[in-house]
Amino acid sequence: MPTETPDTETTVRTMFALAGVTPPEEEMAAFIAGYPATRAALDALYAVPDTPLTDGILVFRPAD
Amino acid sequence: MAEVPLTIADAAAALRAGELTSVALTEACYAMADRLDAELGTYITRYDETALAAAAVADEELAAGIDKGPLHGIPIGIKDIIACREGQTTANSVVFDADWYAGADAPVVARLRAAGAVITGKVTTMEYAIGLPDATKPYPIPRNPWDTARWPGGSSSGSGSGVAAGLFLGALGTDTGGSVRMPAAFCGITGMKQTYGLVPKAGCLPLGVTLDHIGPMTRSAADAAAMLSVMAGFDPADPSMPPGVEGGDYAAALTGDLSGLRIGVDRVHHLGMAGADPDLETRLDAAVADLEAAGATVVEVELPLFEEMMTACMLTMCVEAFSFHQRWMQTRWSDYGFGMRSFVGIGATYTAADYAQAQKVRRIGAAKLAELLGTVDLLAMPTTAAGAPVLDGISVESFLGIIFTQYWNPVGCPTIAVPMGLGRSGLPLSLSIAGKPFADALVLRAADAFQRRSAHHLLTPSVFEAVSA
Repeated sequence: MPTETPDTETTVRTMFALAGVTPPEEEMAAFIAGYPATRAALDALYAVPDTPLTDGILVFRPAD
Repeated sequence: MAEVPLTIADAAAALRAGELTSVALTEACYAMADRLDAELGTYITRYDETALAAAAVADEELAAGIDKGPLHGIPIGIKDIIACREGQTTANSVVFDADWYAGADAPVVARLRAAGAVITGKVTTMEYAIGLPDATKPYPIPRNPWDTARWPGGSSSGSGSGVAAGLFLGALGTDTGGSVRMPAAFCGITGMKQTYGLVPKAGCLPLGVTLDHIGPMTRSAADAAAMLSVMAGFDPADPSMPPGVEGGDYAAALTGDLSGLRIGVDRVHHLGMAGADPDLETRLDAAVADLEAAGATVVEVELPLFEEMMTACMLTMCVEAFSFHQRWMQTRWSDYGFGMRSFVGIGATYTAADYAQAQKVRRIGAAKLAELLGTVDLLAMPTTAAGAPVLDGISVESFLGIIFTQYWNPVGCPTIAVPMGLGRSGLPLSLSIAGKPFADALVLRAADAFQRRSAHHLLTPSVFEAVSA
């Protein structure tokens, strides 16, 4: 189990590597610079209280 | 000789009154393009020969008493991610097989054509419907007819600039996070993102498949109603459409009367932000007064989960776009334009859990919005905080920071952008009106009622000069 949260640069580089995409360094630097703000906005999504309304993606409607 | 009418409705009336022919109208639109397009960068490909032939047929049919409806003989431009049988679809990208869907119309184009529309050509888009203009690529830089130093908005850039400058009277755009409504706002025209799944998307390249819409862009809401009446309805080629979903005669809903309707206005999330036009609130107040004058009761509301839904839209769009483009980005990264790859590349940095959470938040947000729409019939707010940004030095941040359109794609609600006058900058500002899913007719009715009490949608940029037909 990892004991530390990877730093931003490691995270972004790893994500692109997993995707098999290799932007040039200048563009990679921009993705890394922008990631903390992006991550903060994403983390806010996890703070939204769950509700019973969040049904699954498959919703079958039996024929009448 | 008659002048070219500003609206589809006026042109349709002139065609039937014998004051104008479709050939003359189409020629006049092309003459406008001859004069302006080198600067505006609206067209990718013109279909002069086939369009003028279609116009001649429309004239013969109308003369023979064959009337296919309000689009019969009307010049329409098509965003170049939607297939037309006349030629290639470029998506403004060199990373694409331009012969995709070759020789065939997207169903929505086929419907317009069957209704007698004259398809004038393919118009500029941001690459694959996302990003920013890129001078290093072999496509025109789209410019705003109100100020050619500025962007017309995107991604339906040519659709917006072309309608605003009179190069055609209506256009198809696509909207994944505001790509119909943002250029409509920046160009001072009307643009609608109807209910998700109401208009078939087959034959249209995807951006974010669960957010994408093909929508009408016109000068007036009445014209948008005329186009949507033709465009809407089930097509088996589009799996995102509810089986059996039907369109309707949206023009019939345009009564001009909003009596008995409650409209909620959200100021909390749309006013007071940095970079806003100083006259934004004044213009919004005037627009609200026009809605009240039409009979509506206006109340103050706050859209639920506003920031979260904006984030959910961007996350979903980037991930779904990256999913589509990943295999090519692995080997052809630099063939994509800088603006496109900077945007879509962000999709690589989200996790599967992030995407799943965004979809959960969409459902929660849609449910909360449905609760709000149980207390009011419609919602209204500015489309953007300011007018069109300057092209020189434009960045993703410079336009994302002033638009509010993304909220409405994750929930799929019908939303229309209509001009609400010029801001302090002299550039158009825009009002958005939204409603419940499938309340498209009501949204159009409110927009039309507003336009019956204002003339903002008839304002034209200085480049626009009436051309005799």
